[in-house]
Amino acid sequence: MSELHPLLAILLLQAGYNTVVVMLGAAALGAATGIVGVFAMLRRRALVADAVAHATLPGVALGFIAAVALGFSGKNLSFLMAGAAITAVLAALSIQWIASRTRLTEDTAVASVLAVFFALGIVLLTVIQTLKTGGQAGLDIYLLGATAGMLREEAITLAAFSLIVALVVAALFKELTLISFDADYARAHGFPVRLLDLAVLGLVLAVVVIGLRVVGLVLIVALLITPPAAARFWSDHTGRMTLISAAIGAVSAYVGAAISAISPDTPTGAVIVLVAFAILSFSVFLVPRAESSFARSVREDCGVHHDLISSDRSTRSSCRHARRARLRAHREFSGIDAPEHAG
Amino acid sequence: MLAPSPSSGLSPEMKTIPPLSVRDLTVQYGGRTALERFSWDAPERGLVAIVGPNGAGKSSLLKTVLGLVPKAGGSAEIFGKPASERRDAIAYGPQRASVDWDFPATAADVVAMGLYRKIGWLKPVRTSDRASARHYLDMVRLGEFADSQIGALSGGQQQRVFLARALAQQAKVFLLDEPFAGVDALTEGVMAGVFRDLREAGALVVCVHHDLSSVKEIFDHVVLLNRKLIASGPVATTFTPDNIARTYGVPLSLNSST
Repeated sequence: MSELHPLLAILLLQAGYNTVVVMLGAAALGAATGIVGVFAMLRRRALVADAVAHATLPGVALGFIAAVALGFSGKNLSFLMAGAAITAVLAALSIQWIASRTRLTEDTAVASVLAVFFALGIVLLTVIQTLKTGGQAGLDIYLLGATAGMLREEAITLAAFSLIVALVVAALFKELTLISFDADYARAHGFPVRLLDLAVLGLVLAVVVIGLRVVGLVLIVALLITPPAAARFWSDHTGRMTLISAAIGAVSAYVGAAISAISPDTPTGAVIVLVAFAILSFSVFLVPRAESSFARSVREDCGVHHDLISSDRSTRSSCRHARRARLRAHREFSGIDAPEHAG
Repeated sequence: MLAPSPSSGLSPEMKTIPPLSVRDLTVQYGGRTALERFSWDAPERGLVAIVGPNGAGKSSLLKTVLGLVPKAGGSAEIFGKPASERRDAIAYGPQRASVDWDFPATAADVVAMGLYRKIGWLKPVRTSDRASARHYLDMVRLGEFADSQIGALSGGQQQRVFLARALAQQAKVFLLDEPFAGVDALTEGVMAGVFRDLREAGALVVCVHHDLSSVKEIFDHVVLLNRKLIASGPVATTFTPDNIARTYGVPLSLNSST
C-alpha cells in the first residue's frame, strides 16, 4: 500500500507529537477567534479589531527591546505579548478618544490610528535590526504568523488562553447578544452597555495578542471576521452561529498549521485566512438561504423529506415551509441548545 | 401586574405618585434644542399618544426619560425616582428601524431578551424562559412565528415582536417609540387590543404616534408636542383641530433658533 500524501498524514495527526500539539493549539486559537469574531462582527468592531491588531507591532518591537535589555531572549513570548497588549490597548483608547473628543468620525480615527501605530512598529523593527543582538530575524513571523518551530509549551499556552476567552464569552453570552442586537433597549433596562462593549473589545484584544504567533498581526482580523461571516449562512440563531463559527475558525487554523508543518516557509496566517475564505465562499454560494432563489427549489424538497431536514440542521433552518418539522426538531434539540447560552 | 420586590422599592406610596412626571425638561442635540422646558404629569394609568411633527422632540422625550440621552435641564421621574432606579417598572420599545433585522435571532429569541433581567447574569435562557417568550408571542398573535428568523417577518410582525418583548418585562410603565409605524390593519387591531388589556391591568402606555387619524380610536390621552408642550389631556377635550393646528401649523417664531 502506498504511503499517504504528507499533508494528509499530518492532517490525520500522524506527524510527530510536537506537530500535533501545535496543530491542536492553533485549532483552539481558531475556535476562540471564531467565537469572539461573532460579537466583533455583530457589534461592528471589525475595523477597530484590525487597527488594534496592527497596533501590536510597536508593542512586539518594544517587548523585544525590553527583553534584550533585561537579559532575556528577544523572542521571549511573555515580553512580546505584554508589549503587544500594551500598545493595542493604547490604540483602542486613542480611537475612542479621537472619536468622542474631536469632530473626526470613528472610521477616520480607526484608519489614522492603524497607520500611525503600524508605522511606529516598522520604524522600531528597523531600529532593532541595527542592535548587536541575536534573534531579530525571527521577529517578522509576528507579521504573517508561523507555526513552524513553535514549541509545545507555546501551543499549550495558546490553548489555555483560548479556553479562557471561550468561557468569558459563554458567561456573558446573552448580554453580548443583547447589546449587539439592540444597545438602546439594553441601556434602557439597566444593562451596563459601556462595560459590555469594553468586554467585547477586551476579548478582541485578547485573541489578537494570543493569535500573533500563529496568524500574525496583519491578517488576524480576517480570522476574526471570516468564520462568523461564513457561519451566518448556516444558522439564523446566534448560539448555533457561534458554535459553527468556532468550528470554521478551528478547521482553518488546523489546516493552516498542517500546511506550515510540511512547508515551513509558507506564512501560516496567510494559509489560515485562505482556508477560512474558501469556507466562506462555499457558504455564500452553496448554502441554501431562505432568500436565495437556489434555496427556494431546495425548500420545495424540504417540505417533502422531513427526515432529511431533521438530519441536517443548516438546511432545516433555511426552510420556512418545513416549520412543522422544525418545531419537532427544535424540541429534540432544545436540550442541546441550552449549553450554548450557559457555556 | 408588577410583583413587589424590595429592590425596586415599589410600595403603596407609589399609588399617590404619578407613574411618569417630567419637570422643565430641556434636551439639546449638538447645539439644537430638541425639547424646551417640557413639563407633564402622566395619568395614573391608560394609553397616551405623544403627537407632533418631525423633529418635535418626541423620541428625545422618551430617550431622555430613560436616560439614553443626557438632559440639559429639568428632571424626569418614574414613580418619583429617576429611571435608573426604576428599571423594573419600565419597558421600552425603540423604533423598529433602530435595529438590524438581519440579526441572527428568531422571534422567540428577541422576546426572550425581555426576560434577561429576570434571568440574571451568568445564567442561560432556559426552556421555561422559552415557553414564557412563546406565551408573549401568543399575546400578540405571533405564536406560530416563534422560530422564524426576525428578518423574515413583515414590518407589522416585527412591531409586534417588539411589543411582546416589552410585555415580557412585566412593567408598569411602557414607553414605546412609534409602535404603529408601518403596520397593517391586522397588527394595529392586535396591538390596540393588547393596549386595552394593559390599561385594564393598570399600566401606563406612552406611545410616540404619527397617525393622527387613529389617535381617537386607540388612545385615552394625548400630548401635543412641538419642542414645547402645546397641550395635554384627555383625547376628547385636548385633541381638537385648534390644538392640532397649533402643533403642526405655523412654526412658532418664539423658539425657532435659526
